[in-house]
Amino acid sequence: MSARWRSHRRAGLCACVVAVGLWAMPAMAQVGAATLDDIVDAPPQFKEALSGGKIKPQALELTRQNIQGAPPSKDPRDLNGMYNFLRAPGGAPRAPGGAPPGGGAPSGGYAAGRAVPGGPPPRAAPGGLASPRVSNVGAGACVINTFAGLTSYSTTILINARQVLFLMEENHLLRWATFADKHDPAAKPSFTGDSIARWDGDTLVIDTTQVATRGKPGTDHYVERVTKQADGNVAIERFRDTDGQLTPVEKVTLRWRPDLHYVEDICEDFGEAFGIGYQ
Amino acid sequence: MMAKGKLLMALALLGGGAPVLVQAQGAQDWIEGVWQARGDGMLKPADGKPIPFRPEAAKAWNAQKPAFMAGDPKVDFSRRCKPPGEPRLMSDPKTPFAVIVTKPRVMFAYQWNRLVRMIEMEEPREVIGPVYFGQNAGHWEDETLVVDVQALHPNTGLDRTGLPHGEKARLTERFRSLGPKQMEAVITINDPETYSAPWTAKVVFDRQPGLTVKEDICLDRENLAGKLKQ
Repeated sequence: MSARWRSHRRAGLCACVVAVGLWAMPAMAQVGAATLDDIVDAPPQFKEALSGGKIKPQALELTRQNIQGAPPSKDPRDLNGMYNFLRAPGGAPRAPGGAPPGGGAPSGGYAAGRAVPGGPPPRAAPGGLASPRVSNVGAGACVINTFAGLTSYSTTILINARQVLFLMEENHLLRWATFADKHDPAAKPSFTGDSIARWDGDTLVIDTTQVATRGKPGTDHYVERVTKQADGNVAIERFRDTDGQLTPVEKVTLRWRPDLHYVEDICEDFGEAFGIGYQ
Repeated sequence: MMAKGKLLMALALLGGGAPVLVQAQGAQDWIEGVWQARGDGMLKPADGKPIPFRPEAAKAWNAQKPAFMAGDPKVDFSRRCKPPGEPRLMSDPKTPFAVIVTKPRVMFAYQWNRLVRMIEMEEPREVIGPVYFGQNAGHWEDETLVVDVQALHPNTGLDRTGLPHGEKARLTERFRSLGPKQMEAVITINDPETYSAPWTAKVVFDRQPGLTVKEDICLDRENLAGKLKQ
């Protein structure tokens, strides 16, 4: 049993109970317009139980209530907690190989047992970041593909007065921003870049430079605006900064999950099972 | 450290400082920062006595130790980019790690393959099975961080010699400041399957001001990603 399975076992069981209950109650079994893509963090059994490409609104609401039992902190700057990500309608641009930006699994990726997204061999990037021997990309390959952007299945945020960290459980991916005025002048290109943070009112602004992308020359500069919502969820708007001009890239909502806690997830264990890494 | 923390807190309150400042100068924040272990990465009893191995454990360890220390991936799974486990990783003098303190969690963030060790501070967690960094339940005793570790993964060694542990091994780690530049971890290993009596090791860490934990991708570093299948 994988660590991912274990980490969401309880939520999965609860979701299944809710789903089965709804199936048994015809009066409630009204099919809504929402699709499977509207729930990217639901366990596969839940999706399968609600097959047919439709999700019942009641199931969504009951599940939401079930998983959000505890009230969130009222401090708008207290982002500490664990979250699942939920993409805005329309999703996000796909990187080579089908993985979303950040290298996280696409919706239903690892969790649905469809790991190891395929794709063309990437070209080596300047600076030696990309190995010319790499023949797969993304989290499915247990390596970072591109900007580590809050796109993983479960995310834990740790924040204090000095720094903020985003820990993506899948592939144990860590993003790190310090509250500082200036970037590290010695920072070198990396997939997670060099991040500094500041508060703009109660919005956390993260500025990240030196972001490398596997197979793509050069580096990118991103700005993210992170805002805590009344329900505890966290909204993130990401922009690409080109000489001070901000271009929207994507919007992501991190769904607050007080019922979960961080569980170790070692991609390299999965990787060996799928023929990745040491054989 | 306690006196300094209280003084800063009092100054902040008298001066009308923001709560976040008080939080930032808490008495337990001494542990925040980047650290690196001293020594050779081998755990030894602090009392100078031999490790109290059970005979069968000593036999197995002695047989495996040369290959483990030579980096044979068949016995040292870290050469396959699997987590080395604890306390091996934090006591590795070549691997810096950062400690981040929040109220619900204390996190050790390692440079080595960007691994993390999460110490839950608020409530005991369900032990869900063996994991590389174990189940870590922490609490503060004044300024000492005390961590109860259990459920260690069988594919890990306690140190870089592959020091063994059993399924029921339980570690108690006590992290305390030795001043502004040093930290000490006193590690008590209680593993009746492997050792005839509990024993204690000490590891000293140096603070690394100005050092940042850099991105590290083991599969790239070891060029194992090149073995990916199309």
